[in-house]
Amino acid sequence: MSRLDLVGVSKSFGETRAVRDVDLAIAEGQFVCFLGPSGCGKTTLMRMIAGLEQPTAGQITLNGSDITGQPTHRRNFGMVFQSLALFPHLDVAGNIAYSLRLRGMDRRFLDERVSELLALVDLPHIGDRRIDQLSGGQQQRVAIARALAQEPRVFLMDEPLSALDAKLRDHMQVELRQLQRKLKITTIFVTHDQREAMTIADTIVVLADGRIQQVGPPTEVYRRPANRFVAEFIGQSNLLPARVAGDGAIVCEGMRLTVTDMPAARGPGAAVTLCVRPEDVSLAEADDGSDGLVGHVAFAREIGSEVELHLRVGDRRILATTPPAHWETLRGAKTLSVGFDAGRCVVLDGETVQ
Amino acid sequence: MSAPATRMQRANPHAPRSVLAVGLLILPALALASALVTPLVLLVRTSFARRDPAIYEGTGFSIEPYVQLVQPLILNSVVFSLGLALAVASIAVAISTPAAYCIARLGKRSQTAWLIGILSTLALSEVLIAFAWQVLLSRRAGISNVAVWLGFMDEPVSLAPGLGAVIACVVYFVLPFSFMTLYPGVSRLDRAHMEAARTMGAHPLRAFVGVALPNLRRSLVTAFGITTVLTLGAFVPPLVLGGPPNWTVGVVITEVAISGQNLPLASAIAILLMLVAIGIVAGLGRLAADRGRRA
Repeated sequence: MSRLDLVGVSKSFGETRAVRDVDLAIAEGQFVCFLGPSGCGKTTLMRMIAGLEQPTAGQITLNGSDITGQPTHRRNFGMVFQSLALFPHLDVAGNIAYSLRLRGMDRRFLDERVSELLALVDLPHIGDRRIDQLSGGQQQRVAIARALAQEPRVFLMDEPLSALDAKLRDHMQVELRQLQRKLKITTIFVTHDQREAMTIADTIVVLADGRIQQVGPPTEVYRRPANRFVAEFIGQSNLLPARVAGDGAIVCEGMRLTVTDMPAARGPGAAVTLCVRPEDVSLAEADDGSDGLVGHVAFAREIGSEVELHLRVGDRRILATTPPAHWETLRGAKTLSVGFDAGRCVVLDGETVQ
Repeated sequence: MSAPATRMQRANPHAPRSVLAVGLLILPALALASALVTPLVLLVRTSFARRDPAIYEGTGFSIEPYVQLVQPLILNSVVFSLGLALAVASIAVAISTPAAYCIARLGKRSQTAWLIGILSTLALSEVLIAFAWQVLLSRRAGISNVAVWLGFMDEPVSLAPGLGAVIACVVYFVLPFSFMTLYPGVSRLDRAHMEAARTMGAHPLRAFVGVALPNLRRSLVTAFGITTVLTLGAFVPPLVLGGPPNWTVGVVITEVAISGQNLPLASAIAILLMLVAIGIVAGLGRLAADRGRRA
């Protein structure tokens, strides 16, 4: 198991600064996801860890020893590429055995190890197939088996599931997670799909513009986004302008909310942004005397397990989700009273720009 | 190892289907017939003629020219040409493969500059190149003077005529052909393949040999074939830069045809040369088609 530390790592391509001053500690056996929109620097960051790019500044250490300048082939980091990069001139077994042959493994152990790895990824008896005879999902597994063959110190994956269809992708996410738990190998996974990151990772590293926006477990990143970018990128959210009242409560749309999670130095009168997740918007029929806002449903989208409601409150749009059963009781109402679950709202710095 | 039986045999998707397509093909077919087949037929015809002092092309029918092929001058020149061709092709491919690999990884601008530079040497005729090399290898003005000036040699020497001079000149002549044949394949190589090999512990050089080269097999075989066949017919460089021991089949054909006034025999040698070339191309084609696999 390996511990990986990045200190002040930056990378520029000419004028473009792809990665800016990244500090990150990845503990032994962790499954970390680099998550961000395309062009945020997540792949560049992974390629620097693999040694395929040299950082312009900063240091990368593995178990305390500096590996910043170590060439890729000496690092023993297994990597699955976005294109998979399986060798077309070798069959499945030849691909998986590539790293073992380089290490001069004896023929007898070699065959054994290859079948072991094929069994690990649930693809026994296909060692003699050509790569172009495999389906996308099978190629995926072969690429994973190949990267694991050398028993890498760190396992890197660059959007490896992006080419698969949704159902297979969901399945592979679960399998990858189980595999990683079994092997207890320090793993970094790059993705732009926040759902994938949420389901697969111990820790999510949210990147934008080459900078780390937030590091934390999936639930924390979702429940307590550090800034507007994270709040908007991970899941859906309503971002509403609000103000800090004299007693420390938050005033939003005329409602007073006692929010538990407040940024530290926010004095009375400061303009802030309130982040409310759609599932934390409570709805009731308007005439039952509650003190919430009043709005009406502009559009309702039933998506099986829940109902997504696009509400109009004054000139503001608010997104809410509610269970179908609850929606049945509200369906007839002309206006709804809208409330926020104060305990689950997050206050973000700065004014709301809309 | 043979290809698995599951491999699909697909019909050529470009096969002509309509009468119009067939009709349109008649014109190029006629052009091909007149430009290629007619001289070939004449060549074959002449090679079966009896030598006649009065008529240059010979007269009648005889297999004598083919019997005359079995003589040291001719057979040695065929063997020499073949050896020269294989040596030149090996050197040219060995130079142009890493060169193409490096150039394909440069920026767009420098790539274009290199390609234009390499292509522009195609504008030089074989004759011009041979005489340029003669100057380059001469004692009075050649590169040995540079070596003397740099202190590597005591006094300038003449590097031509000789086998080395012939090889250098022919390599220069076929290099752009080899390069242009390899270039598309090299630039299509998946960069991720090399990177994957490196993450698996392969030194970049080993990744190049173990991953890039096997994936370039077709291009390599084609480049080797083209340069071999081109060199097989080399004529001016051995004449200008080589002595009689370095005479290729082309030079011998000229000697027999012009000095010996024996066109039937010259034609028979030409047919032999053609058969050797066909043999090489067929052999290489087999090598390229066979998908080698290693378990």
